[in-house]
Amino acid sequence: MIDTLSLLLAHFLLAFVAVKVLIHPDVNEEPLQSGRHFKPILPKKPPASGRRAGVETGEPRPGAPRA
Amino acid sequence: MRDLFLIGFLVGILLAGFRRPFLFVLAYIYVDIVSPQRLSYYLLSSIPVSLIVFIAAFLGWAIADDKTLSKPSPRQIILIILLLYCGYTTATADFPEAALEKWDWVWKAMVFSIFMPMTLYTRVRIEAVLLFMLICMSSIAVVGGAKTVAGGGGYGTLNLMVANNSGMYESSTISAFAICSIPLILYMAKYSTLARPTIFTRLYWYALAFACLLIPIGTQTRTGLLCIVLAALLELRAAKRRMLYLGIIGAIVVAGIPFLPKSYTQRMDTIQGYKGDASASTRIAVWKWTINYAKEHPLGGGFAAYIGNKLEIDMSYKTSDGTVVKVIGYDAGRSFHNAYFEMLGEQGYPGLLMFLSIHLIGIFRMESIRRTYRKEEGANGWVSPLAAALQHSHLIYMLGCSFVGIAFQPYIYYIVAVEIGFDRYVQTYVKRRAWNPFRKRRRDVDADENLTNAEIVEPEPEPAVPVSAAAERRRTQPRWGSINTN
Repeated sequence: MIDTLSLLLAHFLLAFVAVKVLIHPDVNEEPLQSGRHFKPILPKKPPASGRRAGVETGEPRPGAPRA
Repeated sequence: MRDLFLIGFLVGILLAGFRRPFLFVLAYIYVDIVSPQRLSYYLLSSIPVSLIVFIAAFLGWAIADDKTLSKPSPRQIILIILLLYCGYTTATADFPEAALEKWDWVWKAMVFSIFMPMTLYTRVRIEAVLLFMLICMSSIAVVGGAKTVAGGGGYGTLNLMVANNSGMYESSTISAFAICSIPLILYMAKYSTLARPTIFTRLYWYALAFACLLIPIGTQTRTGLLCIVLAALLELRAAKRRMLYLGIIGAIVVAGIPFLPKSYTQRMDTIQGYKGDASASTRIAVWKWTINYAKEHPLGGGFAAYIGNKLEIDMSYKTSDGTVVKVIGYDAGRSFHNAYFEMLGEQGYPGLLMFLSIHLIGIFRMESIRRTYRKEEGANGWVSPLAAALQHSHLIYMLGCSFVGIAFQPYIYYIVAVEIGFDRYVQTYVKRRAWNPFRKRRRDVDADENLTNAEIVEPEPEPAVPVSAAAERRRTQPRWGSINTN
């Protein structure tokens, strides 16, 4: 029983690999990788607020000596 | 029924081979490891299956494959020389009939290992060969693991589908190869592209690794235990979280020892004191005999030279009250139980030298690739782990073969062949981006070439006709827009 099940499992997996090899496009030729590598760039961080403190708003900037 | 199933599978894979000739190579691996002709009762056992499949594989390669990368590597040349040398020692063997019997399967294994690297020039092919090797081995390991769990173990008594305890089905041999496959199994669990890492594939690979670990317990071989210890140490080198790894290993050992059968722990205890154990004492005696034999026959005595040995075995032991009981045993025709001594006795010093160079070069090359591409990520991230897995398998084999005469087992020659093919693949397709002080950059080479070309180019001769007055003025007078300092 164990023998038969083990044989069946192994042959099923061998058949799976054989089919994969049969239909795989890169069996006979290695796909050529382009020499270019791109650095993934994350989306830019949006500005925290539309207007800066100081001259534009008239509010004191953090750490500024005067009000 | 089993016969029909095996024939059906083999015919199916051979028919598919006409579409993709590389499948013939895979079919040969299947025939060699699983040996369907041994499993079947009458139909397949009467046909020379391996010869037919080998011819098909060779013709498939000759007709359809790319042969631009078929230049033999140094290890292939050494293998060819070793094959020829084995042929010579067989012709001059001490026991010609026994030598011919072994030569009959050795030459096939070696010829195929010389041939196989020429077919391995894509990543898919390298992986497919490894997958076939592992799954074919699993057909034996799963049976052994399941029967061990069910309590049917014992040295030479664990039934691995076939009745005779020989070839790949021999207890110590399958123990060594099952453990030597574990690094490759762990590699496949993470990096395979043909069987992508999913929860199911990983579960299967880890279960297979566990079954492989059970084989030495089921077969009660000391070789297997030593191989497990080495495998654990080597994996420690590869592990990222080493303390966690050590903790898990420690927990497995502590939890697992109480479940081991008593006969197993008793047998493992004999590793420490070899003199009381007949098997171990016999091995030491055979090894001593082999060294003396090689002094008289430095070129080897041909296959099965061990038949001529007559041994005097020292099996003295000390009793609990300290009395030394001297026991001398006599034996004859005992096999080498060690691949190195097997090579020394059968092929002499030249054979041993070639054997060591084939394996040590492989281990060295894999270390070199592992280190060079260690920091590679992305498309080439699999290169260093595969080199490490192949190297670990090879090292485990080198330890395992110190206790079993498996110098010519085809399985290790497949690993050697994959290493050769993989090495060539890396040199061909994987670009070198690692720091190399001796590397000449492309731009330096171009600059050197331009410099040499510039030196070769003759300077233009002066024009015979003097330049016009306007041209002379243009050359000597300041141009428009410049500051006149006069």
